[in-house]
Amino acid sequence: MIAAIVVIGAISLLLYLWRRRLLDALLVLLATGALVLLASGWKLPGEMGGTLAIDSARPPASLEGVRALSLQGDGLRAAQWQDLPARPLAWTPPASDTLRLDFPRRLALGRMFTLTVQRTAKSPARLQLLAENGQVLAEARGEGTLTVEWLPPLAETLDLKARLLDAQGKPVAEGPVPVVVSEIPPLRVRGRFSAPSFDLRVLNELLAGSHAVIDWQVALGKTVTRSETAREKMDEPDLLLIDAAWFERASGAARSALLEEVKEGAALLVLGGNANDSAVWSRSVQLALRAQPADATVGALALTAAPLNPAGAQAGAWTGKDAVWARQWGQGRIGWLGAADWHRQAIREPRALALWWQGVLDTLAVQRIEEVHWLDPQEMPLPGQRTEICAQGVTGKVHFPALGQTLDWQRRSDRVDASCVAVWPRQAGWLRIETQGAKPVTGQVYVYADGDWPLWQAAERRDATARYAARTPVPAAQTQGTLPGWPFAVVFALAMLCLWWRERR
Amino acid sequence: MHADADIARRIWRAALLRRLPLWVLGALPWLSLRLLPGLLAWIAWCMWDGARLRQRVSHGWIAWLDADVPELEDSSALLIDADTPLARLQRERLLARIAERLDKRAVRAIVRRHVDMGLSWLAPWLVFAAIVWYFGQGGAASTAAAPAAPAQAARAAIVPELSVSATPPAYTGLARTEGAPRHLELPEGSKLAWCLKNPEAGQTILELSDGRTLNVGAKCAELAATESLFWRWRGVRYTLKVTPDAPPQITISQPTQMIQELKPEAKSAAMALSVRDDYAVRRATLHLTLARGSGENIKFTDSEMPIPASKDPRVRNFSKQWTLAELGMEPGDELYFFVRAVDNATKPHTVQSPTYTLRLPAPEQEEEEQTSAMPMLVKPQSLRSQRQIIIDTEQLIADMRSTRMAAGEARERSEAIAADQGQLRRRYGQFLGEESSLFGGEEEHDDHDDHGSSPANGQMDVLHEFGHAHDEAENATLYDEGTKKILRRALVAMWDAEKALRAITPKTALAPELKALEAIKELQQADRIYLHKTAFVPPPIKEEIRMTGDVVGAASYRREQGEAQDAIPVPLRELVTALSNEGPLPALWTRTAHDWVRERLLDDGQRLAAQRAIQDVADGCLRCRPGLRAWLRAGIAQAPVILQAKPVTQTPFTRSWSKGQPK
Repeated sequence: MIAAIVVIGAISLLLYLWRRRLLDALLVLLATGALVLLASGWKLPGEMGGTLAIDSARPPASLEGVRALSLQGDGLRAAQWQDLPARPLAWTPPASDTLRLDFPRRLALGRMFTLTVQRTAKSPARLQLLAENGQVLAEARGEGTLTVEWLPPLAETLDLKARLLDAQGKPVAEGPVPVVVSEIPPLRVRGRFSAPSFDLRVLNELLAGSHAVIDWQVALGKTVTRSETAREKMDEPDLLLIDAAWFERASGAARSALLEEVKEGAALLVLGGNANDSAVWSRSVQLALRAQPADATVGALALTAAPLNPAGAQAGAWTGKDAVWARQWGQGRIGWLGAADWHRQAIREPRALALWWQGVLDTLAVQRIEEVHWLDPQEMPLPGQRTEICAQGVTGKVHFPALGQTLDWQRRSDRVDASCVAVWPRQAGWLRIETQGAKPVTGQVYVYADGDWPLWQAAERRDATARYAARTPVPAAQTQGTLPGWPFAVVFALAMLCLWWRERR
Repeated sequence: MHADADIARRIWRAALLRRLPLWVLGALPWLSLRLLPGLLAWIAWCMWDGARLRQRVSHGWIAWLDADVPELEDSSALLIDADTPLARLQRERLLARIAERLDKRAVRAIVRRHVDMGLSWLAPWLVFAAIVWYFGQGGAASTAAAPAAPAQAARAAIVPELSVSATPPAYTGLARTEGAPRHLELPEGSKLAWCLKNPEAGQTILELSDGRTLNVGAKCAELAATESLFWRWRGVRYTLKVTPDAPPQITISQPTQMIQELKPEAKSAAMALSVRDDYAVRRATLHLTLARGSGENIKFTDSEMPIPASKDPRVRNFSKQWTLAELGMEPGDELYFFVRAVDNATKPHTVQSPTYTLRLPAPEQEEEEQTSAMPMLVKPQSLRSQRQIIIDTEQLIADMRSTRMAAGEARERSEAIAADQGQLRRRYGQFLGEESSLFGGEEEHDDHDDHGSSPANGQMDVLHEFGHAHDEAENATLYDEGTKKILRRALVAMWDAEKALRAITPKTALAPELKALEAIKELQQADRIYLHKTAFVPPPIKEEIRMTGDVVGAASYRREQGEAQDAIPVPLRELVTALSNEGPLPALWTRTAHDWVRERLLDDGQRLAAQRAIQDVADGCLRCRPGLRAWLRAGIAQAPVILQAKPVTQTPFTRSWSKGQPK
């Protein structure tokens, strides 16, 4: 097209020159030049376009024509940055102190609640976890990161508070710590043992105290069997428990039936305290056992080691942690508990023992299926700000009674197996969610007030801003601006009008 | 443009309709009073209200539409201002949706959500009208007497007036107080009475913090204060703090140490003490015990003297510089004393101070003896056991047989064993009340040994020589007769052995030595049996099947899994769950909560705060529910750890992942 313009322009120019109309020739030259420039869309060399200073309180709706951004302070929230296209950002993170809180928003009853406050300040401080009535539930002192632990006794929605005090006892930060403690279905355990012991008895009591459904059989020699039948029907146990003696004495058929069951997806824990025959174990489950010295101890509780244990933390396919060695076995898992004599802790430190056992079950990855799992929001939900709510195992629609909205769950590329919706909560407090999974499920998300945890909000904004800044630099070519077209169009039109006027005269 | 004006007009009309009842209702009193200025004032207010409403509607209708009609997708602003073709297109779409969605009912619903009826405005106007009416009436009444109506009005306006009287228990000596409802601090056991000053006002109800209610009418309501509580009357809470009676406090300022050593030349001893109670000390006595003598010959003399009362019944001070003669102390004596005090509470508290000791050292020469005894006390017991003595004797016999031992060496070794045997005998002899070898008796016995007759003496003589029994074995009542008999046998055997050893005839000593060992073993056995009698008696062991691995008689059993004990009662669990949301609470929940709080919260402040929370929630305060939950939770001493499986959610991703895993 440009060639055509140039050719036509040149011909017109020559014609006017030939007719000795210099002024008209000049006008043609001008019009041709303007049109060529207009059509070619020339890029300007170097940076071009405006730099926008972003105000954190009023983020821009669009960055049309903005080439770069500058920013003072903590920046915007992740949700706000996501609405903006990537632009180079001139920003220095502020040096002021921030906080980051880490705690589970949902907790199963009977699990320890842990609140961790990561501080950038290094001064000594005190962290308190407070109940709704202001009573101190837990307290921690120290420098840097502080952690408090508390065991909630009831299944309920907790509006706890946390308070960070400095060395003089002056509050540095205070805000809500919302947690939903939920009831859990009982653990289903099937136990088969050949060597009665105090350990077994303590374990049985621990499980019974946890409201577990227990099917328990202890064989004494060949003729006597003491069994406890489950209080309700148990088709598929969550956990199979055996002692090493049972496995060693069991027939080949019983052993392979058990291992087959594990292969189908069960979790099996072997109490190694009475292991005797290492050959059986290396043959059947490829577990290489070594005799342990009599005074060896294992694990965080320093329990007596089992007579036979794997040599190190890694033993073939077996990986050990805190006296438990576990491996994948088909769809299921097998664990070897290389500790004994935990009954000694039962009176002295019952809670530590129960927590240790929970650790054992978690290491073994004893699992139960949960229909819907709500994911913790990636940033603090605030009123009037877009909040992303994600869950696993949900389908169909989600309803927010407080907002009067019903939305469709949407798959997201950055969450492989979760579905998300975005909402704008109106007010602080619990936001109720109703959705369909395999059956109707309700959940709730806590919406913080604007003034809650300002230091944490600042930290989140800084993180989001840092992530946004990392989205650029964009290639240099794109930062060049094109020449604006309209002046050339005007020049062209004026030149042509002049020509036309002169021709008509 | 027309469309948006149309929608705005519709919303404005609906808002007007919503306010209309208020405007009409507000005009009615003035119309009924036929008061033109009032009516005009009302109309002026209505106009102002209308203008305000107009402003609200015109500013807010877009936001209202956005908030309440999700189909508009927050784009109502486009209805007013759509300057790009795309916006115009979207606006057309919105208008179509509005036409379909925004019928009259919907508009009314939107307005209902954002514009209230404003009935709260009615109250001040009605009050205003009532005041105007009242004064108008008052003027009329003064001119035309109408006695019945004011009397009725006065009766309706009677406010019950309450007086609270508190009568502390008589023993406190505190005066009865009476007055208006107020915060009170009373001693435990006080009697509280609430009475109406004007019983014609009818009954009134007091709510106590523990859930009880008291009716105060013609009869006064009474309460015995046993624990801190608060009571509520006409919306105001008054705290009643109950202070329990304190036990008397005894302070002994002299002597300053629990065991005070007096100087040997001391002639007197100072004693200063005070007894203090919150109301009155009823009785305070000083108990003195003088110990004289040493060893087993100690005599105790007890005496008791009252501490005289002072002017202030709450305090009794006593200080005296006792002369030793008054106390009856002589060198070597010890005086123990303590103070016992009783207060005048309904259930009297009896308090006893720790026991102090005044010690007057014995004269110099006796002290020497004592100091020489001291190292003996700390000397480690190096007793050889009977078994070792036997081994030593056997070794000596073997050595004497195998090697030609010098007579001196044989004598020396034999006597050394004899000394060991003697020491052991004295050790056992202690149990029969004989003099101890551990408190410096060894030398004495060596003396005895020295003046003992020749080794060739007969057995009985030797026994007498060595026996030297200071005390009667029968007086030692530590053991039963059977044990003592065995002990005596052992001692006799030891005597024999010692005698033979001192006679350098170890061979003859061996037999009694073994006899003694047997007796000692029997003694140890006897001891065990003695313990058995007092404790658990195990079932007899069937020796014939023991350690055979035979399980005959051991039976299999099969039982149902037991129910786990729950530390938290079910009603409380249900109550806390109900308190988690804003729904109705279970029946009789206040009783559950009160019982739990009384049983579990022992601190007065905490209990009162919890009871306050219960009362608030019972009044219907929804915001107080979390606080009450926290108080109920505070009553749970220790939360149990519940062993559980980790929850996992099966998603299409995890399902296909696990399918892909090798089996």
